[in-house]
Amino acid sequence: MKKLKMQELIFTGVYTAIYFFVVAIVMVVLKLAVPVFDSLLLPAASALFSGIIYLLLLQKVPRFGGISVMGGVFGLLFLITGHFALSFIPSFVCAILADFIQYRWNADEKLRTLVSYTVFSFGLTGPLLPMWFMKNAYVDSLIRRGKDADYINYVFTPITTTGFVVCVVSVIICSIAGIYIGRKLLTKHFQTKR
Amino acid sequence: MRTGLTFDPRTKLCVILFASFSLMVPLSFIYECLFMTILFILFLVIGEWKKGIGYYSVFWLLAGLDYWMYPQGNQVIFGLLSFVLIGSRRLLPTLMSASFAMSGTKISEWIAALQKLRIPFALIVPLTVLFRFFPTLFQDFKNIRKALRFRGIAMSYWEMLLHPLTTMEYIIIPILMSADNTAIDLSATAMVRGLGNAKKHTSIYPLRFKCQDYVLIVVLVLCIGGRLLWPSLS
Repeated sequence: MKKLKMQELIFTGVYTAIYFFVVAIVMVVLKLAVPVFDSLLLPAASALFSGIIYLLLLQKVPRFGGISVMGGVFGLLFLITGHFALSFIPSFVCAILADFIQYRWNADEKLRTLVSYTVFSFGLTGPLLPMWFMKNAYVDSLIRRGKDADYINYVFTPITTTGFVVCVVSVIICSIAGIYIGRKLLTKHFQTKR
Repeated sequence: MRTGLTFDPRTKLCVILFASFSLMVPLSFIYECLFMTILFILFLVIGEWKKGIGYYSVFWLLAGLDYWMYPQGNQVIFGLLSFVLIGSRRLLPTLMSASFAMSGTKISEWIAALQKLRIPFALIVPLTVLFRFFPTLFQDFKNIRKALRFRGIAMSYWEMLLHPLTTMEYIIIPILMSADNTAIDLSATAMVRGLGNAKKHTSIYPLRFKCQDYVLIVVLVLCIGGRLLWPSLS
């Protein structure tokens, strides 16, 4: 594995900034639309809009490492901007996995990009982790005030299962759609230049 | 200039980790108040008392609303509201610690701190670029909005929300186009400043732990230890 050149690192930084910009806008809109449950839909919604950024990154940094660096920087951003500290881990792990899929898997290139983008999109599930702790805190406070634990579990198990399924399925659908849109935009706007 | 103590970025990172810890473990109300009060005192110490009072009153408002809401009834809507209230209350420390960490710390200081923490260079460079790029990004965004308005496209924010894909095409594509040029400019600047040098980089911010840093870290460790030793103090 050759080390990334300075220019490639800078391109990665710039594309991460734009990605962060898109994610931040999506986050604000979702926060206003569905408070608390916004982090459930965040990965899917941003996957829908940032396919073009991912494709351009692959074009500019066509080497193992670019995607991992992007995920790592995003994780550090999560840490500094006051998300839950462990949010760092999904962001980083998913990016490395995406990198391996993109550059080490012998398959059709379109399929490879599609799968790696889907995996990369799951990196944004980091802010979801606090949901789980929030739920625990809520259940705790209910028990402390004398609610029946069985009743609480009965209510919460379907909700969390549904949430999980919704999150996974929506991310997969939206990243396929996102990469499709991204390809269309790429041929429409960026093909004349090179 | 603001008056008040300043903390080392690494200490601020410790505060962020502490807040994450307070989110992870189940806390009794006493501990929650204690942790929030510590964060509140931190805001007072660095002289940002307005922000501190804001966060602290939001915390008491959420707690009060929850305690008032609870006896109101058993309907689903009250349960959901109560969940939102408790959830936001538990998220408040992480938000507060981030706000504390960002106030009064320059980006260069953060970068210096990350270098001292042995974060790989391949991560620090893009992060630096990213922070340097944000002002340009907002400027670009404003200019693109102006140009769009001139052409009569996507006039209001409401219209932008109604057609998200069109908005994306009209805003992100120009940003990406201009990002190309910016990245080339930035890499020229970086070369001039010797970022490509393989040797150890120096910083104009001397990072040293001062006595307030040690005091704060000891307090945080004591808090975490106290929570682990006496889990259900009430």
